[in-house]
Amino acid sequence: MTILEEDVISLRPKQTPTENKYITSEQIKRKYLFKEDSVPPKRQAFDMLNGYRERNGDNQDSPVSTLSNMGNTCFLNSVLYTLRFAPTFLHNLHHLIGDLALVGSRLSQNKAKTSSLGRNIGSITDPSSRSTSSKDLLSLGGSNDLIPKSKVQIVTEKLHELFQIMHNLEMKESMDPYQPVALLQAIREANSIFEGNNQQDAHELLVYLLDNIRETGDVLAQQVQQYPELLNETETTPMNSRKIWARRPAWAKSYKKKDKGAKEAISEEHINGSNSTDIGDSGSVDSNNETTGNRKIGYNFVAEDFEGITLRRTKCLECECVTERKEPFYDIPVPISVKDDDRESTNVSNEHDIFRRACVTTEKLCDANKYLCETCSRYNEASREVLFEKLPKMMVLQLKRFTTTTSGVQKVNTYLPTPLVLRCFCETCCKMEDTDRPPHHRYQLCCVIMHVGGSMASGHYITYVRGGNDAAPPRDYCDCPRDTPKGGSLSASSSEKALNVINRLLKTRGVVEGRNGLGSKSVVHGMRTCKSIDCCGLRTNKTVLENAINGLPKKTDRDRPLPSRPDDVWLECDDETVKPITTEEFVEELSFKPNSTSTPYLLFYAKITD
Amino acid sequence: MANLKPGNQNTRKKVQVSMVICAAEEERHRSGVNALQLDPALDRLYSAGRDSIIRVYEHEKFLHGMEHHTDWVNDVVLCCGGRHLISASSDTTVKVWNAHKGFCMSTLRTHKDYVKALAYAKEREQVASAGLDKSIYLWDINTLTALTASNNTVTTSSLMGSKESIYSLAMNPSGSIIVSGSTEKALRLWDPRTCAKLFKLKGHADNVKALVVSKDGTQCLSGSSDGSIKLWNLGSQRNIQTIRVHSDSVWALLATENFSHAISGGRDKKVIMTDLKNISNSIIVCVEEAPILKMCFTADQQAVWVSSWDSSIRCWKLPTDKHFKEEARMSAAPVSQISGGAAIRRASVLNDKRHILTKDAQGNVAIYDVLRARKVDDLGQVNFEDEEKNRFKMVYVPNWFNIDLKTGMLTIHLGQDEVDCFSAWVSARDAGIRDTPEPDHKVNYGKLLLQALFEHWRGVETDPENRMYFSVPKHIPLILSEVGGRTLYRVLVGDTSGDTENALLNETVPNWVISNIEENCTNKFIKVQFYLQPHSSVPSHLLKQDRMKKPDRLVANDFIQCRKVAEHILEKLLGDGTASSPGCGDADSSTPSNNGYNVDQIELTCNEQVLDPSMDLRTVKHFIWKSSSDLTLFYKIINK
Repeated sequence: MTILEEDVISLRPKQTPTENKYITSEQIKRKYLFKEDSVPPKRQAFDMLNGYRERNGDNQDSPVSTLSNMGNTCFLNSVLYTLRFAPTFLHNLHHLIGDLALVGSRLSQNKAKTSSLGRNIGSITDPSSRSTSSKDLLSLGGSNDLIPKSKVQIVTEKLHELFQIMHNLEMKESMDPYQPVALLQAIREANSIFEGNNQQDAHELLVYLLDNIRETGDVLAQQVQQYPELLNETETTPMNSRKIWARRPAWAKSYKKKDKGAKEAISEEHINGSNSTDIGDSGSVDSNNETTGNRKIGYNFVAEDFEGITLRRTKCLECECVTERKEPFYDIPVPISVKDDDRESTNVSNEHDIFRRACVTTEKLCDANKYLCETCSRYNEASREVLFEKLPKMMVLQLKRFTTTTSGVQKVNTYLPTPLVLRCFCETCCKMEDTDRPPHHRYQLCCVIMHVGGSMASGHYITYVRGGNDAAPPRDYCDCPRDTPKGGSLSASSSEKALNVINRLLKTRGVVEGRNGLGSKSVVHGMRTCKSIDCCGLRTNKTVLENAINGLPKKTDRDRPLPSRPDDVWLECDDETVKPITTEEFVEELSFKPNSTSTPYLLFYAKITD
Repeated sequence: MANLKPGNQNTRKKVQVSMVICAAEEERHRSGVNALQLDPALDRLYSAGRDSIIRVYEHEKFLHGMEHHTDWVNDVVLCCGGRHLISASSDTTVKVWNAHKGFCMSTLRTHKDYVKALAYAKEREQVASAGLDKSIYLWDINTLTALTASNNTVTTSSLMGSKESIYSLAMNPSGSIIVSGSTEKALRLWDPRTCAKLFKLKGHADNVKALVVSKDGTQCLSGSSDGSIKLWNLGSQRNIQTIRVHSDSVWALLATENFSHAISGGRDKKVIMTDLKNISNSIIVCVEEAPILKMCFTADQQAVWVSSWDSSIRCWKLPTDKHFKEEARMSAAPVSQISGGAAIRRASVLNDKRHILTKDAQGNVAIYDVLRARKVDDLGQVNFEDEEKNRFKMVYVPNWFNIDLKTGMLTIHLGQDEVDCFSAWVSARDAGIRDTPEPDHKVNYGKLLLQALFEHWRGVETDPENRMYFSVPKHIPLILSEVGGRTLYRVLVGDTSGDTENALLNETVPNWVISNIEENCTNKFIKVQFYLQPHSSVPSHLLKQDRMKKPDRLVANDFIQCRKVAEHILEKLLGDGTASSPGCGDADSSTPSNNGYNVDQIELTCNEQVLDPSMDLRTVKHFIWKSSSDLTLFYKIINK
């Protein structure tokens, strides 16, 4: 693997040590310039932090915290980097974990008590019981739960914990690579195929992790369905409940009744009401998926963000009856044709259709492969179309680079262009295209996992992620309906914890920034943001990023316009090394190179609705 | 019945034996009618059914059926002034018939896939056939009708060039031009005299399923699954008109003598007549009950016979000039009708793997007995699912045949692939056989049926020692075919004793049948592996010492009943095993053995369910154990 890493490095513009030094000094210079000239006040905090960093004298600057390779674990690191940078993933995972802890603790409380339903509710609404529940939340993954956690759930929790740690490391500006041992351990315990120290398929791990989270979400949703009274808790925080249940008139009515007192008498009825509204609601959530109100407990974001639906439409050529079969998918396998003439056909003009042509297909079922038509009760010729009824918000394309041949699994190194923007090829958009109207949405490349090397076993994975979200937090944090200012959910408590940690850090370093100042981070640009950003959110070190970008060798070419807004930056995540590169460099990396074994393997495209 | 080449026995493909459960005379079409031909001289209508039978109606009365195909008959043409009929079928053959007497003269096995279309050049007595194998063959009818058993080779010229499956074909009477329609969505033209490829006409957006060429070969009409009808000028190779009168695929086309009007029918169930000089002028001839498959003119050309997915054929009056000038209105009723029967649309094999519950297109539910190859009960219009549930018995018998409803009749396939026809052993009593040599005699369903099917061929019915338990009616068609492929030979069960048939059968009957239907052949029983474990309540002193250590792994025939297992426990596992003769029957079972227990006191359980002593092991495994792993049974002693 080391050989391969060297290989990759050599592809990059060469830097001699002296140049490096020069750049570093340039970086410092630029930083101060930058600070004097154009640092907006809101960035000051970062810069001060950064200043502290400088004194540490790190020679390997990294804009985000890094993961170290624990021996053949680049498959894990590459997927973790990807998930961390995948839009909305961290935020959604956070809420899932929060809900999980909430429901879990309430469930164990319920089980612990044998009191009647009415009394149960009364006691839970008691403030003291709430405090225990928040304690439970803090001891996530602890063994004091009455309900044993599934291995699947533990993996999901460990994943969140890791992101929390990475966030804290970023806050601390500590750029020592972290070893995701706990997560790996949990994964290996839950699924034996990841056992041993062998290189694994990053795709397999990705699918496994997503499936894990989905399953965790499903279990949660089941629990909520099973014990609808658990949700009553949320009601004790009026703010919260109104937010979640705002669209339910029936609920609002019963809620009012409850306010009037007479708790014991009404709670029974209340529960019945919640039962029925719950059923009704599940339907309305489905239909209103695009709205923000769907982030209720048990909201399965993996299904929402990563799951698409394929449509297999088969038409019998005899009776011309059409049968459709829909199947959900998490990723789209893209076959790679080994034919050379394909490369000529993939010129720039149709590059953004390349995956559509590979995935949206029509085949004829004939000869020995006829179709058993149910209408005709016999085998007939048929045409079969494969379309995508729905493409997910985050579309994962798996290039079928590993083919099984008689001599084992072989890697196909055939070049396939990786367009930065794709036209959407869901059924609706395909139809729109026929009518010459512009399609609804496009897909923007946000992450790429490259596979480097000649085979699955000996290869290495490097992740490229679109970096540099602006100073503003990602949009999903801003209009989060789940934001609970003082509620008993995890986000508040752990963000508080995070704040305390930071405060302590800052104090010891003499960089005292008022608690209020930091706390106000949840109100950036006057927008309220979900506190979870302070728990496990991504915190890119802008200065490092900008310095790195501006300090890249081509900067010496003074004539060229200075690059690159921060959102034009990609991060090359190669285990413990995370290096910012410009889009141009990234495109160069993706472009065709003869005999290269460094090939894109998993492509992540995020949906952009115009 | 000349020229039947039953195919080479050396071919690798496995041969299966099939039978069609049908009535002695199937007077009515069981399913859709794919093609129609009229003999004006005798006023005979020939209809090619999806039930594999070509039926002949004289003066609209059923005359006789022409049965020899084994799959859908897709097209027929009447030639030589009505003396001969050529038919094309999905059994991949083209057959030549004596139309007057209704027998098959020869079978052409040149095509490799379903033969979908025929075209006839009257002046040259030439027929072309085409199908899903993309090839078109030209046949000289005079040569075909002269074929005999000894002179059975025929040369054919083929028209090459089609890149996809051909669904329609047309030729003009002088045989100067031939047109094919295919999934290529284009028409291809050849000159049949030279077999030269001429050109290709593009314009349709989907499969082309209907074609007509004008007499002089200058114009052509094409009907496509894109819903349009196109009129082409073949001289200029151009599309002159595009007629869009149908709301769905066009499947059938006719043109009047002078190519002045087009009559079209299709998936939208409508027959529409369009004036080709003014295509906005069109009249709905009729609206059928099912998608239209074919039309043919009556002798006076004033009406059309229309066939559809429905088995009935109806005659509808065509509009005249008066109708086109809107001076008269179309009648909403057909001139006449030849009623069809109902096709079997659903079939479910009951648990006993002997009876089949069916439901036909008219909603009638019936029960068939596979072993006797006949319908045993008509239940009328009852709920199929309820009936299926009511007839459920907790008995498991392995599958031993496949069913096929493509012809609208029950076709039973016996083979040795995924479903081994010899896998079902049942006790003679359960099979309903009285006077069995011994009470526990086992019979094999597949063997019984094969014996019955080949009984006349083998001539065993005269032998009183090897008496038949069942026999099938003599009119039942017996079909030998390659698995999932071509038909090798079709013969009626009653005809198998004939000399020619006997000889042909000797060539075609596969070895696996011959070696297994002899009465004295060795029986290969299906085995079940299982464990026997004592329940914790069984006093250990009763058990032999070594039984304590590990469970007994046993192997038994799958039809062994729990009572037998209990006997085994009593004799071998409890006490010192000095019980009387092993394998004792019912008579012995109640006699107490030396440790004071009898069979009735042994209770067997599986998955905590108590097993009935008469239940057999395969039923336990299938319905109670519900797993493919080895069965585990627990036993305990109960006091009665």
